[in-house]
Amino acid sequence: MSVLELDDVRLAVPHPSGDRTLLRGVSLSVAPGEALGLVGESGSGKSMTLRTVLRTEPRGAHVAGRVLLDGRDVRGLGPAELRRVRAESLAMISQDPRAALNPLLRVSRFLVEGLCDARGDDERTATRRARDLLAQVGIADVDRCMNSYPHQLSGGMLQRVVIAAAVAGSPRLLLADEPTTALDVTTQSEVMAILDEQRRERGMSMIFVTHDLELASAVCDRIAVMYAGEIVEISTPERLHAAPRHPYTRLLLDSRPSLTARAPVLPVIPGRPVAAYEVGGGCAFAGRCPWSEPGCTDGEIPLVRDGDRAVRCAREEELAGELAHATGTEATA
Amino acid sequence: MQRFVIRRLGALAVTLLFSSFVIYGAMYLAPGTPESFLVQGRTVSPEVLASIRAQYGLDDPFLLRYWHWLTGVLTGDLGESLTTRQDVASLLASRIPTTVWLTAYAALLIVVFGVVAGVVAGLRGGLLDTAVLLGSSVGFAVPTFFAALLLMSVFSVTLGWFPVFGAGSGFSDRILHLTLPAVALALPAAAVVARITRTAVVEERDTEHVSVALARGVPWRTVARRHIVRNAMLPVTTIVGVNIAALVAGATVVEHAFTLDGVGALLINAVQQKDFAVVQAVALVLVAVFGVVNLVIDVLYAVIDPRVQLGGESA
Repeated sequence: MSVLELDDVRLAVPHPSGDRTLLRGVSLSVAPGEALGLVGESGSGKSMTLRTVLRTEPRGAHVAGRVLLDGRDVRGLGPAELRRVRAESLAMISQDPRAALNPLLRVSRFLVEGLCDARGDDERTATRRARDLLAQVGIADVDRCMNSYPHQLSGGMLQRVVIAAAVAGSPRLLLADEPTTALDVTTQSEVMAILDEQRRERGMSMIFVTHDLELASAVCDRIAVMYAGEIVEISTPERLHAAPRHPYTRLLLDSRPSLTARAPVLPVIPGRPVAAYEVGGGCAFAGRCPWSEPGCTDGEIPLVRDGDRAVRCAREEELAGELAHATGTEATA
Repeated sequence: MQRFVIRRLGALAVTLLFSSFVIYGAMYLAPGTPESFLVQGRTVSPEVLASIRAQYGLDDPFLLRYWHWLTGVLTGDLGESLTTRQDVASLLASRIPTTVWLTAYAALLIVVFGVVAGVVAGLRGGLLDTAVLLGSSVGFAVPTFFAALLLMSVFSVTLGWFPVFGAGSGFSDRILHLTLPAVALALPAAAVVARITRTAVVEERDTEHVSVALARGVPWRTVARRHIVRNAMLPVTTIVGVNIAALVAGATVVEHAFTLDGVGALLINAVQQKDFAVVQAVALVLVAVFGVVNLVIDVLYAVIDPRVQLGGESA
C-alpha cells in the first residue's frame, strides 16, 4: 500500500475578486521508501500540494479531495489526531532554516521539543537522541551546536539541524520543500547528500519539491511535473529525460543549460507561466505549446496512466515519437 | 553584562549632568523671581530686597550659582526650600514613599492587565479581541484627571468602597488608599500596552517558526507560551518600560487629584511658588528614574533576546 495517496486534491484561497484556485485536482501516490520529485515553475502548486498533506494551507483555504496517509484521510482528522500524525508520521524540511527556528531559543530546545513536547519522550532520552542525530548529520562540534542560537550558525549548519529534527522521529514521510535553495552551491550538495543518506537509512518516503530538474533526477525515484496547479506528467527520471511525453516537460528539459554543448542563447519556453486560477477549459499549457491544436482547448484533459508513468496531453499518442527526439525549438522553427 | 551596566551608568551620569544644567537654567528663564515670592506682594524697601538677594546668593553670576548648587547636589545637599525652610533632601525623602507605592502599584496594574489582556486578545481573537481593542481605545482616550474624578465619584462617593484622599499607612491601608489613584494612573498606559501586546502576539502567531512548530506536532499551548508569547515580549518590554518611566511624571496629576502627598504634588506646589531648590531636585530625580528604568529595560531585553549583545564585541 502507498504511504501517501493524493486523490483529486483541489485547493482555492479566498480573494476579494472571488476564490482563487491554486490546485486543480492533484493525484499522486508515494510508495514506501520511495522518493518522489515534484518539479515545476514557481506558483505551479508544488509547495501548496505539500501543505495540504501537512494541513498547513493558508487560513480560509478551501480544500477538496482526499489525502490518504497509510490509508487514513489526513483531511478528516480531529485536532488531537492531526497533532499525533504531525508528530509521528510526517516531517517537513522547509526552504529557509533560519525562519524555521525560533531565533530566541537554542538549537537543543528546537531538537528536543520535537521529541519531548510533540511525541512525549522524556527530556533526557530526547537530549541524547538529539546529540546522536547531530553527529549523524555531520556536525563536528555537537556541544557547541546544541548550545548555539540560530543566529550563531551558518545556513548549512542550520539546515542540517532541521534535517536532524525531521528524521528524529523516523517519520513515514518526509516533505522537503526546496531544502537547498537558500544555501550556497557547495553547501547544497553536502546537505542534499546528508538528507538522502538519512532518508535511505531509515527507509522513509519523501516528496521532494524543487524547480531543479537535475537535482530531482539525481535524488528521486520518480518525478512529477506540475504546471498551473496540476500534474502534467509523472515518470522515472531516466524515461523523463530520454522520452518526455508532455510538451511542457520537453521544453523544460530543453531550457536547461547543457554541461557539454555551448548554446549561444538558452532556449526559453515562450509566453509566461499561467496561474492555476487563470486556466480556462482544456489544456493549461495550450497557449504556450508549439504543438497545440484547436482541439487542445476543449474539455478536461485527463491524466492518462500507463504503467508507472502518466501524462496529461490531448495529443499524447501522436506526439510520443516526436517529443522523444525533436526539441521544442525545432518544432517552432 | 557588567561592563554594559557600568557604561550605561556612566552615560546616565552624563545625562543627569546635562539635564541638571537645563533644569537649573529653565527656572531662570521662567517669568517671576524668587524674591518677589518671598516678599509675597508686600512693599519692602530696596534694602530688604537686596539683603534677601544677598542671602540666597541671587546676585551671583548664573554659572557660579549653578556650580554652587551642583557641588551641593553631589555632596548630597540639595539645598533648602525657599518657602518652608526645610532641607530639600529630607522633604523629598518624606514624599518619596507615596510616589513609589503609587507608581509601583500602577506599574503592576499595567503589566498584569495590559500584557494579559493583549496576550489573550492576540491568541484567542474573536469577541475577546474586539472587547480588548474597544476597551483600550476608551482607556487611552479618557484623560487621567477625568478618570480620577470619575473613579472617585463612582467608587468613593457613591459606592463608598475606597477612601477619597490620603495615602494611608501600613500595607493594606496603603493599598486601599492607592487603588483608585493607581487605576487612574495606569489606565492610559495599560491601554497602550494591551494594544501593542495584541499586535505583537498576532504578528508572532503568523511567523514561520510558529507554523513549523505546530506542523511538528508541538501542542498549541506549548507553542503559544514558548514561541508566540515569549517572542512577542520583545516589543512589549520596550513599551512597558517607557510607560513605567513616564508614570513618575504622570503621577503629578493623579497625586494632585487625589490630594496625595507625593513627589508630584510637591513639584506642582514648588513650581507655583517658584521654590527653585525643590523644583530642581524633583526634576533631577525624575530624570534619574527615567534613566534607571530604561537601563533595566535594556538589560531585560538582552535577557530575552540572545541576539542582543550587551557591551559590544566581547559580551
